[in-house]
Amino acid sequence: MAPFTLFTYKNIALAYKNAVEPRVSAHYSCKSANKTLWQTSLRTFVAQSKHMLQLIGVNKVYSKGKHQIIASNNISCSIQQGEFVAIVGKSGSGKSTLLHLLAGLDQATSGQILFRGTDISRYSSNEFADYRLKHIGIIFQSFNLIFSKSALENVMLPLIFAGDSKSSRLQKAKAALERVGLSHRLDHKVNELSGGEAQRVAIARALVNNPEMILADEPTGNLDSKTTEEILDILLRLKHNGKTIIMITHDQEIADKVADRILTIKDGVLSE
Amino acid sequence: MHISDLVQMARQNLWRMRVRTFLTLIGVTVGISALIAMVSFGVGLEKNITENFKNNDLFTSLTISSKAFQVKGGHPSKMNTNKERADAIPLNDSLITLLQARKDVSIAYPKINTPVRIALGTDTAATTTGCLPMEMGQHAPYDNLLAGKYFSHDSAQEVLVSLSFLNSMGYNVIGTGHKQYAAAGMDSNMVTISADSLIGKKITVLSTTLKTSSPLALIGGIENVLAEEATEMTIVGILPSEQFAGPNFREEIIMPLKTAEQLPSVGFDRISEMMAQKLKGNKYNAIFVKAKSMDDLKSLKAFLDEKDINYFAIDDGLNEMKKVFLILDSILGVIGLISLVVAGFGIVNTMLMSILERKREIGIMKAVGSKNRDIRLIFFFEAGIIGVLGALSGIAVGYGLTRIANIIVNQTYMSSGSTPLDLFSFPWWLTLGAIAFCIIISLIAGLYPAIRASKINPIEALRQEG
Repeated sequence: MAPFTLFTYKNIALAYKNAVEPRVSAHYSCKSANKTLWQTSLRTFVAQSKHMLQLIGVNKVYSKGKHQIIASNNISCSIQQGEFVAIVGKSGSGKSTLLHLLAGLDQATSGQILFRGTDISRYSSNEFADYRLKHIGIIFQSFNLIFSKSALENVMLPLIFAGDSKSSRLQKAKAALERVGLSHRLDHKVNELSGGEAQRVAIARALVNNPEMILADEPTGNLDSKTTEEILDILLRLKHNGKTIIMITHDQEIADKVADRILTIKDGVLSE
Repeated sequence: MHISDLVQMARQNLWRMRVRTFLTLIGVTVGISALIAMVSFGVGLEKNITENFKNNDLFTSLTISSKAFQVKGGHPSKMNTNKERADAIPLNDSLITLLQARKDVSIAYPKINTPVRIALGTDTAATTTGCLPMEMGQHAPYDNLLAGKYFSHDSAQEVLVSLSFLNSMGYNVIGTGHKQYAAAGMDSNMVTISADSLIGKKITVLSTTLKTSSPLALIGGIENVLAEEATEMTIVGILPSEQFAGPNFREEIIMPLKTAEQLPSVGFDRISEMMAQKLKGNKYNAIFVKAKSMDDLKSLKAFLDEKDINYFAIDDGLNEMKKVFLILDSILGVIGLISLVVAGFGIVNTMLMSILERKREIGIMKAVGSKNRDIRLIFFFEAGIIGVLGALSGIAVGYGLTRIANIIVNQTYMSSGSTPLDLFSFPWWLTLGAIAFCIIISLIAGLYPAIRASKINPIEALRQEG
C-alpha cells in the first residue's frame, strides 16, 4: 500500500489507535523509507486530535520590589479535547494566574504551552488576541460585561473584532443567547439582568465565536446555589456538545459535581 | 473591524459622555472659528484691494512721465534717473501715436492737469481738472457713471464731476429711489439734491493764465502777471468716488481731451513742475497708457525700458503688496492656530479621562479578542469625530460671526454712499483647509491617548470594579 493512499482520515485514526501500542514501530519498521513520514504525521495528528492543551514546565514569576513571587511553579499537564477539567485551589494559590496564561492574557516566564501542538507561550499580544478571538471563550466570576450595552450588544462584541457582517453578527449572537435560554432578554441592558442571567450572557459571549475551549474563572462565585446549578448545567451541556472546558474554582464540591478530572493547585504547584 | 463599527462605537461613546464631549467641542469650535475669522479677514482685505485695482484696470495700465519730473511713488529702481539725456524721447503726440500703433496697447492719451477754480451756484472751490479721450468712455469706471453719460465729443464744453467734489460744494446728492450718495464729513448745512437734476447744470471753470511773460511785471504785484479766464461748461455725468478710481485718481473735474488742451492755463500744475527743467520737446507732463492685458503690459514695459522711457505701473508694487498680505495672513493664522492648539490639548485631556473611565471596558474588549490596533482605532476615531464636528461647527460659527461683524462695520463705519464692503472672504481653500487642519490636529491629539489605551494590561483592567 502506497503511503499516500493511507493518508486518509480513517486510516490515520486507525494508525493512531495502533500507535499508542508499542507494537506500532515494529509494525511499520520494515517500511523504513516511510517511517519518518509516518511518525511526523502521527505526531501532528496526535497533537491535533487529542491534546487540546499541553503545558510543559510552565513557570510564572512576578517581581514585587525585591521579592519574587512564583505564581506558577514548573506546571506540566495536558488537557484532552472534550474534557471538563476543574482546577481547584484556594485564594492566592496561583489558579487565576494559570488561567491567564492559558487565555493568553499573560505570558509565561518560561516553559511551553502547546495549543493543538503549537507553542503559544511566546506569542505577541496580537497573536494572543487572535487566539482568544478564534479558539477560546472566557467566562469571569464578575461577568465582565459592558453594563451600558444590551445583552445582544455584549454578545456581538467579539464578532465586531472578528470582522463579521452586521447580519451575521446578529444571527450568531441571537443563536448564542438562545443556547443559554435568554432569547427573551436580547434587548435588556445588562444592569437590568439578574446575576444568573448576566452570567448566561457572558457564556453566550464566550460561545458566539464557536471556540474549541471555554475557560471559566469561578463562573459561579457570585451566584446563589440555584443559579449555580443552572450555570453548571449549561457548562455540562457545552461539554456534551464537544467543547473542552477548564473551570477554575475554590469549591471542591462544585468541581466534584461536574468535572471529568480535578487538578489541585497550591502555591503555584499543580497536582492531580 | 469595519469603519461603520468604529463610527458607531465612537458615536455611542461620545454621546454617553455628552457633556464632556460638548465642552471639548466648544473648545475646538472656538479654535476653528478664530482661525477662519482671522484668515478670512486677511484674505478679504487683500481681495478688496486687488479687486478694486483690477476693476479699474490698474493692473493693465501705466503712466509715462518725463525724466525730469518723477511721479511721486514711482518704483525705486526708476527714481535715480533724474539726469536728463540728450537722446531721451520727448513726451509728445508722436510718442502717443507710436504707442497707439502697438499691438499690446489698448489706448494711450496725455494727462493734462490744470489747476482751476470752479464756480457752481454761489460757491467756488479750487481743484485740478483732468481729461479723458472719447475712447475711455467704454472703460471702467467711466462706463458706469452714477448719473448722466459720457462726453458727446472730444472738444465738447462738458465735464464729469466727482461725487466727493459735489459733497465739498455742499450738495447732498440723492440717486434714484432716494439712495443717498453721501461722503464722509457730511453736515446739516448741505443742500439735498437729486443726481439727475445736476445733469445739465452749468459750471464755470476759472483757469489762470499769464498776462505777460516778462518777469518785470511781477514788480507791480502777482495780479499784474496772472489773470483768470472763465469758461462755461455743462455737467454731463457724475463720477462715483471710489478710493482707487482709475487713472484719474483724485481728479474731481474731468473734461474731454481737446477741451482740456484748449483750456487757457499757465502750462504747469505744480510748483515742482515749474521748478524742474523741462525736457526739450516735451509737450505733456505725463501719458497714460492702457495695455490690452496683463501680459501685454509686460511687453509694453520691456519696450519702454528698452527706449529708456520713464514710467510708473501699479502692478510693480503688486508683488511687494502680496508679500505684505502673506505676512499679515500668517500672523492672523498663527493667532487662530494657537487657539486651535489649545483646543487640541482639550481633546487630549478628554480622551485621557475617558480612557481612565473605560479601563475596564478596554480590558473586556481585549479579553474577547480585540487587537491593540482595534483599541487604538476606537480612540482615534473618537478624537477624529470630535475634530470633524468641531470643524463644521467652527466654520458655521466663524462664518456667522464674520457676517455679523461685517454688518456692524458696514452700518457703523461706512458712509451710506459707498457700496457695502465685504471685509471677510471665504475662499474654498480656507474652508477645506480649516476642516483638514482641524481633523489633523484632533488626530494628533488622539494619538497619545489611543496608544495609551491600547497598552492597557487587560488583567489589571479587569480587576477594576465597575
